[in-house]
Amino acid sequence: MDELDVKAREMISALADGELSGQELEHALALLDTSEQALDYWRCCHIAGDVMRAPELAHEALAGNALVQRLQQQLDAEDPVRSGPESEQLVRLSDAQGKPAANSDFFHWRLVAGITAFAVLASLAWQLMPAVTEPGKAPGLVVQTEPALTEQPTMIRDPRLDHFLAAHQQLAGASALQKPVGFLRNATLERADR
Amino acid sequence: MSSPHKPAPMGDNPDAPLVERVLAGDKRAFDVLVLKYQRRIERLIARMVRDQALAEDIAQETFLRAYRALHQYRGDAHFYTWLYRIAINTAKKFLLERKRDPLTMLVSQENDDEKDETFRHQNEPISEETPDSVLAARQIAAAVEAGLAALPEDLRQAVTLREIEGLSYEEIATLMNSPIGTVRSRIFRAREAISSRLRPLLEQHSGKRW
Repeated sequence: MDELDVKAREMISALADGELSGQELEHALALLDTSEQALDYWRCCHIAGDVMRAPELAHEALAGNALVQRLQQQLDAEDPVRSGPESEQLVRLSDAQGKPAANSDFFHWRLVAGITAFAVLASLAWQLMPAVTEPGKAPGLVVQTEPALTEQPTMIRDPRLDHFLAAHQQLAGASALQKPVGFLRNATLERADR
Repeated sequence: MSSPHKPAPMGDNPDAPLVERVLAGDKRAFDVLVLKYQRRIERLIARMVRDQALAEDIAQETFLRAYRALHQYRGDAHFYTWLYRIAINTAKKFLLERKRDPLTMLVSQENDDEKDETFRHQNEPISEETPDSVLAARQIAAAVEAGLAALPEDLRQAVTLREIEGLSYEEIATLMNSPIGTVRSRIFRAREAISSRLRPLLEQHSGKRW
């Protein structure tokens, strides 16, 4: 510990509080990178802080560096973690609250456009299918026709109605006018032969 | 070159320089982060699994996962908050796997009969805590407490505002009506005084000179 001068220890103390910048920050990080004493002082600062906040953490202070040593062995087998384009993309995606970007490969617009196009094509194909199979028919028109009637329909009428109509000729003529027309009726009745 | 006592523009995220260093490929910087947070993470996990040896394994797995996922850390939350979530998830995953294992489940149920999961006194030993280690832990806690109590008022106030209240140097400087450089110096001197009581105990326990 004594090999670490006061200024170096003060820098490490400030680094523990996240209050270093510039060359001091670089210097302190370099010290922690190269000096075991610096690393021990760093640990001592944090043990003091931890125990001040929560005295029960004193038990964990006894654990030593075993965890770090085991972890170092595992990390040696790992590739260094680096921030790169992949991580930048992750940050951008997470900034959008987990929603994919509009130009993302996985965005639904492409799927929606594809399904719509397929539906339009299927609909057109369905309508054109009869025209292809039956060339004589107009495309798009499927008319169901009833068989033509060859016989006249049978009129069912009371025969007394015919007699009645024959006996009242004038009324038959007047019915076409839809309403009673007085002068025509009078002219008919006032014929000379009557 | 910046002023020696100029505060860094990262008060909200004090671990940002170390994280950037790790992301630049410096594995040693990750060790520095581990040394900073390992006690809090181990204690957190030990409370969940109630087995100190197991807690150490899960803590190791937690830090390994954190290292692998560090490129996903955005820096908008405190690094410990991010690490805390990984620790919780790792411990939960382990507990789920243990439930699926009938043999371990049997042992776990036997242990559950003896202990109440919902409450544990802060001084109650977790498994594998020996009387010696409990005594050593108490000595360490007492040394820190005594070191703090013996500090001059201005040093004690500065270090308390920093360590317990979590204030930045700038905020402490405003509160204490002192320059930031003075605050930094007071906190350092307070730590030196506490460390002078703490170091012999750590050396005694680890057999290593601090």
